[in-house]
Amino acid sequence: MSAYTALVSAHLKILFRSRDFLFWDLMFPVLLMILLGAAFGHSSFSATVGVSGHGPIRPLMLRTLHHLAGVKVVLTQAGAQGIQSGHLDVWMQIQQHHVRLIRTASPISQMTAIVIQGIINQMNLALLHHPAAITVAISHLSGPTSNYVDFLVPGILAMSLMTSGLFAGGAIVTYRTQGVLRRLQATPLSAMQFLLSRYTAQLVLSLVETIIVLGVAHLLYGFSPSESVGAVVIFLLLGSTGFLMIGFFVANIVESPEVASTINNAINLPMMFLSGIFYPVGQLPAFIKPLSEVLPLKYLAEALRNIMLASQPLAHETVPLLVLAGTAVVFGVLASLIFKWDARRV
Amino acid sequence: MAAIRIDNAVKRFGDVTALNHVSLEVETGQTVAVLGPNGAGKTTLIDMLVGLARLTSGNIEVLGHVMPKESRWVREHIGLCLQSTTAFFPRLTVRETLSLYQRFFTQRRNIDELLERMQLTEKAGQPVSKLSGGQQQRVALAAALVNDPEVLFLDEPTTGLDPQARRDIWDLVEMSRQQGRTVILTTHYMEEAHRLADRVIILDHGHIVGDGPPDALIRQYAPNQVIRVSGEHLADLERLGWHPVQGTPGEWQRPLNENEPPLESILAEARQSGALLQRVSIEESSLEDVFLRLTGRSLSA
Repeated sequence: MSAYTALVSAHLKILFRSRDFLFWDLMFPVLLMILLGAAFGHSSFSATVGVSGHGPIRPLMLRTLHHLAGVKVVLTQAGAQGIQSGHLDVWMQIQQHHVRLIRTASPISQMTAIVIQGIINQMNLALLHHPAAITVAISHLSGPTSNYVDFLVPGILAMSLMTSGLFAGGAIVTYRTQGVLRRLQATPLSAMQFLLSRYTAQLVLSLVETIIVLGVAHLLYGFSPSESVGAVVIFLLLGSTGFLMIGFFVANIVESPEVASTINNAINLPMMFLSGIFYPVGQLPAFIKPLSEVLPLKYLAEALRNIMLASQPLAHETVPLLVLAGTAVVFGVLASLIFKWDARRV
Repeated sequence: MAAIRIDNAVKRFGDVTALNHVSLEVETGQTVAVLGPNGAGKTTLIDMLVGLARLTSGNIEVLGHVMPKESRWVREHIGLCLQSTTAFFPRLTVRETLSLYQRFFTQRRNIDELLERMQLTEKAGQPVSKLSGGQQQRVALAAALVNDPEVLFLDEPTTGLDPQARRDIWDLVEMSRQQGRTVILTTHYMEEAHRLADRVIILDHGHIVGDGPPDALIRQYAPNQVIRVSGEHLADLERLGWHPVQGTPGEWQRPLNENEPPLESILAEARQSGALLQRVSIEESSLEDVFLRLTGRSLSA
């Protein structure tokens, strides 16, 4: 085993034996995903329809409503109270061949009424054996409002790569103040070997994070990203490299671990909330949007989302590709230029 | 061949001159103790020798190779034991730590044998951070020996250790020395320097103010005996040329040599000052006295 592989394995042991690391870097993103998914993930359609009255069309209407996904049917004599108390979204009164729909002004109620109206029109056409002049087909695409979990998962993944990259920088400051780096410097090990070994460990770590986040998302929400594994891997690689280099850079401009963690928080929090991790960037106030345009996390989250959900080809993602590669190169070069083994002024 | 050759070394940090025209040669196999109070330039000297910092001017050669230009070669052949016991990766065991350090070198010692020698075999599976101060210092020493170095640098190897742990480290350094290694250690413990070193270098304000075998230094700079007393009402002794003994409160001492009044009148004078002497002893001078003589200060101050 060479110095490099020995160091990589030491870095990984050090990481995976740290409770802080296991919680904040591995558990926390997953917990956040589960929590937010549980709170905001049920945006799929659900409505309760109360049915009263009699007529020859009643059995057919009931059968149809039962087949409607998300619609719960209740047989009721007190439709008005049901609507007023909020138990019913729509009240359907059947009078022989006539259907009367009573709705409220709520979006769910309006939508349900429109859906039922559409179904009745379809039935009319079918009963008249009239061929449709215009046909329509609806297919499914995930957007931020249609399926929150689909929106959330790539963002959480991007966020966890960012946090662990910055965390790595903080650890280097601690090593420096405790003299670990000074001790290493007195061996034939080069700074480049040390940084490369930490970088390699970071890539292994990113892989583990990705497997955990995507695995939990798949098990809990049936999240299954597109098959463009290559493009996803390229962005995961660029993302973790970029954020690790930012971490390395911060590690070399500060003196104490406390300052490093303050700066890391100052990077972490705005990135987390302004990069469209939890809600789309489009929902941000207009004056803050330009800020999100300069955050690398926004590009990583967006690119991962486009590739995983919309199967966007890599060629359409050149802007995020360039932004993330640029981040990695600029901060990587800066960090290696100002790398310090020793906390003291020499 | 000299293991170490320092020629007119100067190191400045801003306005502070840490090393001021230091020249020094150390023979292979010698054990040299660098003595000096905090801030005397001891650690700076070690830093320059292992290439952790650059000289402002002057020249340093270690094992015939120029520092810091040939640091990489030199570092293959030296070992360093720092005073800070936090200088280890966290959450690694003793064995993992030593195996890791061993991988940085081409010349690698057997870790089991090293653990055995450093009396760490039983602690091999424990995290370094869970060990006592003395045990951690033994790990630091073991880490300095993983490459079987020709020159061993020990920066205050026993600072902060209890007497037993200190003696354990001394035995281990002694062993290393008997294997023919050149050992450079910094310390502010006289006893340590006297016990371990063939040669003592006294550093003060970045200057070498004394250099020689411990006994020769004592003969040269403090050839006299010291009279030491303890008892009650001793405060007035200061007026009579006595001073308190460093490290043992309640004891006072003064030189006893040909130029001083005879023992009998020294004691009579002390009694007249109101002192009640309970114990009187005559002691040979130590490096402490040499240091006091050369720098005008006590080492432990």
